[in-house]
Amino acid sequence: MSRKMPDEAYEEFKQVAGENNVSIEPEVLETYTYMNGLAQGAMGFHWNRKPIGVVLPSTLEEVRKILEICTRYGLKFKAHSTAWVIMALATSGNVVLLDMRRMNNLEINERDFFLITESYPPAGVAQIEAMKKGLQPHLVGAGPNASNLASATSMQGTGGTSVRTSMNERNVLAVEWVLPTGEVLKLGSINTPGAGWFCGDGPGPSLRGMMRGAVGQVSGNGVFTKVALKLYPWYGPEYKGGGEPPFFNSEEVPNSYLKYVLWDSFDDEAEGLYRLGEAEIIDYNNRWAAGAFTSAMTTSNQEYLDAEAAGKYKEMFGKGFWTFFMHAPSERSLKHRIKVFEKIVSDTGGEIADPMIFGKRSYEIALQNAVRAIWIAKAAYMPTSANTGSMPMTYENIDQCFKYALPISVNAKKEYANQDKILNEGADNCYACIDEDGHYIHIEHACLIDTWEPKGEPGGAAMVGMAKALSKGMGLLYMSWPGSLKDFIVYLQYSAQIQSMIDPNGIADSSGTMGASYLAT
Amino acid sequence: MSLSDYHYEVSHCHRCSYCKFVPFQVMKSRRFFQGCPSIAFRNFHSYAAGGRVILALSIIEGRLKEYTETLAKIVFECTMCGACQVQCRTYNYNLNPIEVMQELRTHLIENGQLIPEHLMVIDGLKREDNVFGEPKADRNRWLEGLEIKDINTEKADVLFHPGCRTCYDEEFWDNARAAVTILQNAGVDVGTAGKEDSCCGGRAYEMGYKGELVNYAEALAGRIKASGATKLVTPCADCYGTFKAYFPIVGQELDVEILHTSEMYDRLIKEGRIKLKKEIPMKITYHDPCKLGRRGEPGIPWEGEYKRVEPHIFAPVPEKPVKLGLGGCYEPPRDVLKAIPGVELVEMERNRIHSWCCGAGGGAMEAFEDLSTWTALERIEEAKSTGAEVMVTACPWCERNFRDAIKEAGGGFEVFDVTEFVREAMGG
Repeated sequence: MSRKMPDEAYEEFKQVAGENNVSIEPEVLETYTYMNGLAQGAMGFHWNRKPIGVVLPSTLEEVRKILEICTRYGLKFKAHSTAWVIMALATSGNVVLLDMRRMNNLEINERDFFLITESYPPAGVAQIEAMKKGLQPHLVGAGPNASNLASATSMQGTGGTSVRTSMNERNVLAVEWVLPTGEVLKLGSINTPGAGWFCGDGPGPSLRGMMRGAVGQVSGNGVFTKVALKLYPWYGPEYKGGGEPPFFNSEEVPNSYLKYVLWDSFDDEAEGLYRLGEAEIIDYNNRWAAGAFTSAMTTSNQEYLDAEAAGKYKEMFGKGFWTFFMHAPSERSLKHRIKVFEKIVSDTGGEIADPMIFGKRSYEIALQNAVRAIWIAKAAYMPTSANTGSMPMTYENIDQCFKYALPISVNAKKEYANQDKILNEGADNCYACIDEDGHYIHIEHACLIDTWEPKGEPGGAAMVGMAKALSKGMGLLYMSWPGSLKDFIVYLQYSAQIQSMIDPNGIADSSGTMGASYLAT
Repeated sequence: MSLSDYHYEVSHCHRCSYCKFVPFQVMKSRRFFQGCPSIAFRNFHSYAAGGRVILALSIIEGRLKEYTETLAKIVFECTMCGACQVQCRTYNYNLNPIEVMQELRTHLIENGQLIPEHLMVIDGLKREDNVFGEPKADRNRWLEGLEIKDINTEKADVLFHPGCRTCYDEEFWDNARAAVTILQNAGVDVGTAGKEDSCCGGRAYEMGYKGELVNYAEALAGRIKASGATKLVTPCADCYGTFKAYFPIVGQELDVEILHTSEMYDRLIKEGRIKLKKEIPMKITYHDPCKLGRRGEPGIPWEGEYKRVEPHIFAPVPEKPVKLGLGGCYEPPRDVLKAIPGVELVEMERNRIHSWCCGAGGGAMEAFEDLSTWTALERIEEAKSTGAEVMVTACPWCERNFRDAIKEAGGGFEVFDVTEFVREAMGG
């Protein structure tokens, strides 16, 4: 297998993308090899396969030609957008990476409530432009620096606003997709002359499910160059921040309500979430526990340790807490929502707390999470910088997660934390959000680890958590994968069949982990 | 500190790309969301701070064994504006990208990987004590016709340090003379270093030549001590940042108050010693020079290491100072401009610690002209988008780069120095 770009292929890539937009230089390639944070990095595999080249396409036509060149020379390809945390690194020996940074166009269709984004624009940038027009896109929990196209077409797209703005895979309208063969596939209304991007299906059967499978194929099915995504109302004004970093000062959001809620038991928590979801009043929700809160509230690692030693965050949030945000079109509407909210919380034994309880920092973190999805990722990667997480990580119902899966996860984590194999920031460091008014819930149970820690055992806790969940008949519990091992194998078989159909030459670098779901943004 | 001392920091980059963007809390538009000129121009991740710290890690871990021209190009094609430092540190407190990038430069130079254009600058500097390699004897030509004390022969309260750009770029002589005259008319006791005046060493340091900075810092410290001056005033942001931020890092704290001319004007206006009477009815915008702003933040020397203080928690011991650029000079030049009758000051989207660079720093102007010009024109576009008629700044390097870029682009916009506005408002 070739480990070097053939000279002829290199010349052709340069002709397509321009001399300055192709590199085979080892020093450039080296910077597309390292990863710390999640998955590979968190498992201790910081240095990954080195690609044989990186190309920066700027148009659909360039992408198409690049894949044709790859086919002609038997090279594999993989594309990535902003490459946040877990980028689509090369996983085999002769991979050309497509860094989609130059495909940076973005259009807001104010009239029909959707945006059209190319591969690169970070979600936070799209949000800024949408908010100017009284609209907002969905932002994934990973943060505003993640590409909206990536989470919609090739990875997973949930976040705190999913309760109102759904998940990005369900916001997809028309799609422009370059198959590994170089053929351009257009999904939905863009196939009909003059119809525009408003619809993701037809004529004919929908291919959106095939496009991404359960969690996305991370460029294993080709390169997505443009996608239309639904927008949701934002009652304005646009978010404005100022002041000093890192916490900044946000301007007040009119007709909004921001509170913490604490429940005593997972059962009460589940009941409260069901009822708040059914009431359809929530615009943002996020569950954290003391560990994540301490990470967000502190800057340096020393400050983190001091805060932990002081113990006040653990005392308050040791059993987890929720942030809820409501944003209404009028004062009257907000008053109604608050009444409903307070009654449900009271009925289910919850306690409401002011986000200012720990001062301006805690308020800013709550508000910036609710409106800009800023702090979730910071809490997930500081102070250690890696998060093995994911036990369990589900797209299931509230009962399953809170009443059954989470206790298993908490116990599994406790064993590892007590032996310092992972950071001991309390057994419960579960992040969660309910999606689509509570029809689903997404949970990530963070396990922070410094991969330079001598006692560290990356990935172990996650594996044990999964094994225990499996042993209790709860399935794999990873996002929207099928629950049982048997069904999961069937899913993999289907994925492989789809891939062999659309990639007959086998040039997509889909030899990553877990059914080609090699995570990426 | 050497490059290998940064192993913990460079291995703890999360690849979040915050180093590329203006912080999302203050970002205002898609048009101006980029924060780093280098990655915005080149697009490969290598050219972001995140890419450079991976290269540093690769060198430390022995993966990259050869120091090539490509490596040098990646490391040096950067204006060292420090936007990445602010942006990274809004998220990751275990990494100081600007320190790593500086150390990477020094490391490459120490290992013989030189940038030819920079080498020419350094040769000229060693020969003539200025970054242009022009005759040392010409350094004070800007002073001709001006009556000012020479601190080698007379005591003065304020040592005026013009900087190489001012001394050797005739376009700025008028400004420098005006600055001295404004101060003198306000009753300030000003002097210059006369024939002893020389470079600050800052640009050499950013090109990776740390020894040059140390030499010039020691020489200046000696001059100041001998002069008895209580203040060091400069119209050059590049020199200002060098005195404030770099000198302490190499162990040379100056025993005087360091002020930019705009800070002096501001002080004198507020004391009533400068009176701005003449109306200038103009809508203007102000460009923060990086070395006056975020990179003008006082440097605090730190020697230590990241230690495992608890399982899974590594922390710098002793605690490391936080650099967010907040200690830079932002308000004095704005206050001066706002004090001028008729002036309407409007802000660009990226301002103060989030300001976009002019493109002149880090040796980019000398060796990477394309990056330098492109960066300047991006800023001009941003200035124009405010509706301002002109842009005002406080650094001759910024002005030079802006003016050259505008000329290359066919004109159509003007850039001035704060001093020009003060002089005009005082009645010319």
